[in-house]
Amino acid sequence: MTANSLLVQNLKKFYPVKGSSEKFVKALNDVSFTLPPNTTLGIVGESGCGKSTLAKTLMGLEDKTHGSISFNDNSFDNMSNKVKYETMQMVFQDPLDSLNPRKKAWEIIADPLLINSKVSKTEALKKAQELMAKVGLRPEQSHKYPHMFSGGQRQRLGIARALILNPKVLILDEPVSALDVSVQAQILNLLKELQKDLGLSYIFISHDLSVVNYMADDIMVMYLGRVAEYGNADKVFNNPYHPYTKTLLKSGHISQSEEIKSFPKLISSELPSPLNPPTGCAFHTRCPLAKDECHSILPEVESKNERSVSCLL
Amino acid sequence: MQVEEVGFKHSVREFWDHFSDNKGAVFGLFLVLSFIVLAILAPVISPYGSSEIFPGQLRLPPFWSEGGSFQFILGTDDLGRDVLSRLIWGAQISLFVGVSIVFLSTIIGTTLGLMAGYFGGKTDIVIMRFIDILMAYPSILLAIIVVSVIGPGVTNAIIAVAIVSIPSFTRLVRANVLEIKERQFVMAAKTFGAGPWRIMFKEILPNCMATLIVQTTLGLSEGILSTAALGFLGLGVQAPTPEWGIMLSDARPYIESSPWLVTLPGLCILAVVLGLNLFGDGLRDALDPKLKR
Amino acid sequence: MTLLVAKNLQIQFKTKKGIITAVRDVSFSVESGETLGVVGESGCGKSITNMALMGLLPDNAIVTADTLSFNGVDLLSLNEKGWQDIRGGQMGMIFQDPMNSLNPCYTVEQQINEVLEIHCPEMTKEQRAEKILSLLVDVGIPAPKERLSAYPHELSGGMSQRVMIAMAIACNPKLLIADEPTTALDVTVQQQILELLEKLQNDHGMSVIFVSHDLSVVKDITKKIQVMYAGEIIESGITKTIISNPEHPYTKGLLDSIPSFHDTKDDVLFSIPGLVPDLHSRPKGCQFEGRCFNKKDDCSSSWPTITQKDDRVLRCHYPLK
Repeated sequence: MTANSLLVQNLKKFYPVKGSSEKFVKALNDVSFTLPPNTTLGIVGESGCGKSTLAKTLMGLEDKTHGSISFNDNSFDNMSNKVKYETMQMVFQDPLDSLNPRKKAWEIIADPLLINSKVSKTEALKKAQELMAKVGLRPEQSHKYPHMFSGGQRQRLGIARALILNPKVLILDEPVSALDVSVQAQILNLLKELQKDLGLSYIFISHDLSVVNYMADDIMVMYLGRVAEYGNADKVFNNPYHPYTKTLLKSGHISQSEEIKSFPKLISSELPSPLNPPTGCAFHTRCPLAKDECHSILPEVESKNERSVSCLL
Repeated sequence: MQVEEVGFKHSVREFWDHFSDNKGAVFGLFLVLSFIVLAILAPVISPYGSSEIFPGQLRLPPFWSEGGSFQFILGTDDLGRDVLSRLIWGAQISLFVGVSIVFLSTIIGTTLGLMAGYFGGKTDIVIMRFIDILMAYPSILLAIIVVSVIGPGVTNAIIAVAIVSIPSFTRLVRANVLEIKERQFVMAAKTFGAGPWRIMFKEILPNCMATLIVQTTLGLSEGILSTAALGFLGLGVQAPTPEWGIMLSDARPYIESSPWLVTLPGLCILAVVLGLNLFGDGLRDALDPKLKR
Repeated sequence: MTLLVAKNLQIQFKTKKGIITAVRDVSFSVESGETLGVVGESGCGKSITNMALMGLLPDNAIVTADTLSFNGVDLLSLNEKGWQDIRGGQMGMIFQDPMNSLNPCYTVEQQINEVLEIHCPEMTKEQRAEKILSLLVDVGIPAPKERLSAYPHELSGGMSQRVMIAMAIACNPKLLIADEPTTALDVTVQQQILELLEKLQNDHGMSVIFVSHDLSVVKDITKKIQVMYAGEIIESGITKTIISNPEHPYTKGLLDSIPSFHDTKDDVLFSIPGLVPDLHSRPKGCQFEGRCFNKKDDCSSSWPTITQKDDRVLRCHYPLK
């Protein structure tokens, strides 16, 4: 085990279906990964694939059904809340919605500090202003309200708030999808710079493959709560194994390889209902390469060439 | 950058821009302010004491009618007390009673609403069924029941009307909370360990303020009206306190012979309630971002 | 044939703080059967221009133009009745958020039926029912018969967008305005909607105005493109040449900010510094001057006019070579 790595093993999150004691929506099923310090894990998939549930479960906003999360060989189960918050923090998608409109910038940033440690307001203000400078905001603006900032500046506030407890891991849930392209680039650059300076690990959730490709060292493709493919980002992008990864790359127009460009179309555009997932491989209802056995046999996650893939083919 | 200079002053100015657009609201604000000034300055401007009796000067008409004089500008009542002085002191009582009612019902109603909305589940069911029970009675009837249990008097009238006003606050706040608690900043607060009470009062409540302020003004007018009704029925504030409701009720036998005795306190109630309602509506329009262009 | 002509279009809004000019000196044309891409960041005036074309601007808007004509009709002189005939009839529109654009109270069939009732009153009930079914088939909805009685909440995002498209093309419009039609959708669905739009355009010979903030989407489905900034067209021309060889510094900046146009991830992503100018106090000279890497002294004092060279229209004193 590498020091200061985040280790997630067989993480499961099942939601009970109303009116039935045996049926579950399996929002996360057997998700495992290792995140060493100073690296970025990109998580991609369509809406409903479990990306957001993963973020919430890791953050402790949802209780996990099964599995273990540990950091530096300490299980999250045995950690005090305070230590947990000092290990992992989160940046949200919508920069306006995730900042309380009735609080001043410095109060927003300093909130985690005020809650989790006994600091005076003056100290908290000073710390908040330091962080504002760090994320490229002018500390003089610390007494303004969120609506007085632009979209990109608001996301910088959100990042500053996530950094104030000096976490080792940041969960970035679609951090740039609400921003314009030119602003998006500013935020991505800032995130890369912060990673280099502070040795942070990122879990970068996005539906935009080109952004993930630019940011991530490792990549995990999820489909209906399961890992479809997980491995080194360059390798996955240049030589995807799973047909779902290939489909995503084709739709995202980012691969130049002929194999991807000529990859057959999906059979159906509709994601199956998670209430009633298909038997066998969950992707078989849409997979253009599906064979008979895919309908009945659930593919296990297999490792080959340092890559995990769950596909029978 | 234009962001630089804006601040609190700016938002007040912006608010006033929107508010002053609504002429009715400005008129309402003027009415309310004049009554507040009257109430505060009562000891200075009222010509006589509220219970000062002038023997022999019974039911004198106001100065503009035949037999009226400038000694008693608005005339005297059946016991020989100056009507103008009683109305001015009455403003003080009405505002005191109204503010106390709103203070009590806002605190209780808001807390209940926050809890019901935020915790949901059983807490929500228990609180909201209690509120439903309160709402199942016509409010004045319920107030009468409460007063008949705890007995008449200023304090008891305040308690009774406050209880009756709780549901409107609870329902309003609960609806607001249900919406706000889904927003990302509430989730963000949870990710760094904010507890439920902190989230309720520090994250959610400030965002309910606009609607609460509006409801408070409207609640104030309702409170004044209900208290007057209780007074009229003899269940609220007791004579000889110069309360507008009691003045109305005392003047009832003379409705034909001395009509000013019923008309004047009635007009006062009307003016205050109208002013508060106009002001409240204007506030709502000015504070509601959805109505802003 | 030229379907839509806008010359020197200007859109202003009366506000408390005075009149603001949201769109100015915008001239473009759409030939029939052609797809025009409109690109720009939020607040650049691309949506407002479309609203003006559809006559959907609020009452405090003032629209002026030397020419604004659609299929020979002068749009500036239309009354509300005239607009109603054009909207949904000869001009269709699809919006960004399909889930919010459908009325949750009505079934798919009722919603499409309403469009037909308004614009094709001569059709009988049976003809309409037939037409609705064929529209659903056209837009690629699986099991269309069963979907007729479905309510919007029973449809996925991609499905709802297909229904919106069916409604927009129900009366064979000459022009389809697609305002960020795929932004709210997943990539796999986005791809299919784009393919559907291309196919429908070929089948029906429609013109399409395709608005998006995402250059990588626009580049694949349009031949002509115009880039807007602060309510002005700053560059327009053939999509391919503009993307491979942008001459306006803003277009270049926009392209360089997109990670997919980069090869290695060790590059620092190019980003345009600063913010879009406040429309209440526009800069005197070039609108992009404060953020431009190629600016010279006179950029801040004189407003560049439109220059045309070959197919390319440009608003810049010092175009990139």
